[in-house]
Amino acid sequence: MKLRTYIIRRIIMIIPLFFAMSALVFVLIHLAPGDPILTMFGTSAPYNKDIIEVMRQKYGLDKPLYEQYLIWLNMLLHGDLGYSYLNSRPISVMIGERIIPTLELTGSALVITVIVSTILGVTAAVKRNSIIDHIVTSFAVTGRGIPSFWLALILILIFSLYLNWLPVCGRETPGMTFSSPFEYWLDKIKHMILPVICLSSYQIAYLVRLVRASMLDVLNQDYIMTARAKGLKESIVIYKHALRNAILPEVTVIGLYVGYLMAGAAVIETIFAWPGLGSLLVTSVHRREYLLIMDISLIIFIMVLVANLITDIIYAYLDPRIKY
Amino acid sequence: MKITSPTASTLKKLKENKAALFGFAIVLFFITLVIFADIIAPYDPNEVFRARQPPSSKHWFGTDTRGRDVFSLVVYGARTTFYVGACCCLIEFVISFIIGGVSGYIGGWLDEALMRIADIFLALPSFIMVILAVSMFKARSLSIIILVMALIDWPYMTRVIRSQVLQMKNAPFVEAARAMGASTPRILFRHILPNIILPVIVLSTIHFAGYVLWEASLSFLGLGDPNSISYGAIILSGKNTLQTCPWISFFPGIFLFLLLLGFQLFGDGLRDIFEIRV
Repeated sequence: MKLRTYIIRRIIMIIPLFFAMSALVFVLIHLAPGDPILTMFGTSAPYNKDIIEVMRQKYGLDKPLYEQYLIWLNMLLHGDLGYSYLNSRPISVMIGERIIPTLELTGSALVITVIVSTILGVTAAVKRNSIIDHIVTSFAVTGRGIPSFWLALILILIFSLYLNWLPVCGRETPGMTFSSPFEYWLDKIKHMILPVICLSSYQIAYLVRLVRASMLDVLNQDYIMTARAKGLKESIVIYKHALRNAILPEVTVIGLYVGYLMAGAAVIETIFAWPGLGSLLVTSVHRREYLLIMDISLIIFIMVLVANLITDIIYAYLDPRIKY
Repeated sequence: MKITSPTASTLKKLKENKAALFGFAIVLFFITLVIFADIIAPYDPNEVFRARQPPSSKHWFGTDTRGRDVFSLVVYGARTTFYVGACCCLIEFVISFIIGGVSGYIGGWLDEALMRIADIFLALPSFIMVILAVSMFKARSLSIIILVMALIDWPYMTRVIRSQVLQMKNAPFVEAARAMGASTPRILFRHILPNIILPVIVLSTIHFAGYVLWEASLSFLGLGDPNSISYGAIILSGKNTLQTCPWISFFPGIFLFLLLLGFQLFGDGLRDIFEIRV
């Protein structure tokens, strides 16, 4: 099978998964007690009887549950995510604003994780049993135990409150005018440093071990000996011959990591008041706005599925041996 | 040649595995805290003193914003973590054994259907699902949170159990039991279960840490049980006074870190010692 056929098949496989997911989300939320209209839009929203009646009609709440699901699904597929009465705004607009910051945060965390863990893992494997190896390995062991939200508080305490180097929270300094684009980006990056560290620390620790182990494995193989025997420079042997095979296990794990990142974002965004999907999800749970909860979780699930698809394609591209 | 018993060789491997021993020591430390919390904790966790006192000889870890002794809270908090971890692992095991056992032993379309459902759960970010499921409940008690977490995390262990059952269902001893007319439940419980308990224990040790972290994260987001003493909730309560009273968040975090580290190291060690792939 060609790569293209494989990709098309993977995309088609997403469709039943999407329906299963949306049904799951729908059923979960409809198990919640109380009047569905009030639970969907939040009990404390300002309503009058007319709005409630309109909503009842629109979401078909007098019809059986499966029809309600189909109505909701139909609206979703037409891009109508509903309206948030507590915020007096369409949900699609609210989610639209929040997707970019979340992608910014999770995307940077992903890139940083891959780069840092690869460099550390490879260095530890190449300089096996050296001091560097011991430092990296002990970080890999301890890093997995640190709860990210606690790490966030400790880093805020040190770098923001005591040393005053980095901002406590937010995505940019509010009300600031920048004299140059450079300053603007510097401000943005400063806001991202702590959240990205907290979001990626666990996975870096996990991946370092994986990369180190697979690099050691690869370095023992015959083709590496051949490469060395024919007099190639050590750096070429490691970065050109060994690395490509050594990072294959990492790529598979990254697919799973995206799901973890989105979940971690819910916690980290809340701490750093980052205006993303995760913090919006947590606030909407606190306010019991079920329609918003439904929409956000579905969007997050779709993002994770797409990310998994992308990593599978990258994997197939990196490893020609793979049979799709 | 000296012949060693399986127990002796396992113990020897455990002694050689420094990381696993260290993890085991931490786990033992926490078990002591859990059992002797009443003796170790100097005060009742709900007793109120002057609020925001820094660590001193009277209050080792200081007092929190409501005036409770942080050290006592941390000691009693260990009980909550063990309660959560143990209950979740137990429920997860029961669900996984039923679904994985039926799926692997009976097979056919039932196996196919159950595994597709498991695939859906595995494809989704679990913690987001936990938040979603927890949001349904008006009053979030610890039991509900435990149930929700175990119900969402079952597919992983189910798969492990299923693959073990698949390997075992045509083994001579199972065939012998079948030939003697043993019923399917009897074969599953009496013959297969004792043989798959090792991977289950190893996986549970690792999952234990995961459940504890989930519960702490939920509490930290304010979505936990307000009536239980949770590390996440204590850390949250110190968040707004981080600069003036850092000890409120710092010490529970250290304990949570140690607990997670201990279970992960111990679990990893057991996995390596028994050479189990989970």
